[in-house]
Amino acid sequence: MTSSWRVTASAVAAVFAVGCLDTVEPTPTSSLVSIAPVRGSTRGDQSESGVQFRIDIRIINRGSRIIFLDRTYGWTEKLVDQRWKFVVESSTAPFASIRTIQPGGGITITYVMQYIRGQSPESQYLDRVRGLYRARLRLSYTASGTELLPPEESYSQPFAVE
Amino acid sequence: MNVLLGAATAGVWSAAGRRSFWQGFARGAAAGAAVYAGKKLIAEGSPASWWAGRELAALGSSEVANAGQGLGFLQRVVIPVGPVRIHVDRRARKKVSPRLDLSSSISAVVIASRERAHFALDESLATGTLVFIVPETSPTVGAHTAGVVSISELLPDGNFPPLSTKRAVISHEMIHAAQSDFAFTAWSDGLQQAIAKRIPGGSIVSRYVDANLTLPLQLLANGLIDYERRPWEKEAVSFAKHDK
Repeated sequence: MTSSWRVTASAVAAVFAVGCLDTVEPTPTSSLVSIAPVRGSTRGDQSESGVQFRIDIRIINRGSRIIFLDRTYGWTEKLVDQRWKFVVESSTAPFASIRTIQPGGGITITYVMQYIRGQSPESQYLDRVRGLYRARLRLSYTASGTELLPPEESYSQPFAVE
Repeated sequence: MNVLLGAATAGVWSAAGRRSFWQGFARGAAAGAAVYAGKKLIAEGSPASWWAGRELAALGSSEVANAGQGLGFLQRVVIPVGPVRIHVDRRARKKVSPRLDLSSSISAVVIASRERAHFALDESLATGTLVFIVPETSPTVGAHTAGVVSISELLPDGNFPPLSTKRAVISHEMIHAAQSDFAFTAWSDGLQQAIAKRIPGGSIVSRYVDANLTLPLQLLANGLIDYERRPWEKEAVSFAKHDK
């Protein structure tokens, strides 16, 4: 191999090494609880006043202790340039409304994301509702929320909104 | 379609140069098949296929021009790399001459100046084309303007139906880049050289700068024909299947 060919081959290899595309940032999967959308996608609503969507999410308790879900809480992230970005959080009185998940049991909830322009904190990624999302729930081993599961144990698998 | 377009282009140029229309037509048809093969490769959606596909299509486009001008097989070749077009002429004294693509450069500056738009280094290296990541402000998830690709920041690089994948959208826009290369190499380059000879100082400028003279026609056609009815969009959609 001549030196010019070697230089060319190195340049081509460098281009492909650097030019590999980023893939979607992984979502943590919990060994204690499975949180997955019932269907992989849902339709969103978009208007001048804001955006919203709702999606059914199945939560299964894989552990040996009862888990309590805070129904007043929702944290939504959206995929932007292959990275997850926080877009909106909803929270009223913590653990004022709960669902109980028995060990080995499961429940299905309807997760609602609502972003109202002017009322919700400004999010530059919600001009359009379409995109890939994931939700973070608030789970605890106690009904009052004093023994919370770590946030990384509380993410849903991603789902598409069109 | 690519075969017919290559054949017709080479045939018309041949006839304009008082050479055999049918000889140019036949050679142009074969070169058009190479353009088609290049676009098929682009649709594979990987860095290697984007590079190989666009350059194969560019070789096909160059051969259409050679056929039209009665030159030898691949005597002159135009290879697009980012905002530069590398002109290779096997029989010229100066065999390799890189030229700045003026419309690509202007387009890149305009897109880069948009709010929250940023240059995508990885995607640009993966495609050999200037790529920008832009905010999604309309139903459009990708765009091609004069050899510059812009894609929505919300596209996932993975299979999450019904969302379009980033790779499919890049492939779609890269097919437009190959179409634009054809328009430049097979039509605009010859016109530019002919015009440059008639303008004082034109030859000097033309040695360093490429101006895609078909761009105003492309913009006009985009303005006159609805998106779904544009033949070039139908082609890109049929190669790299995704919504928009």
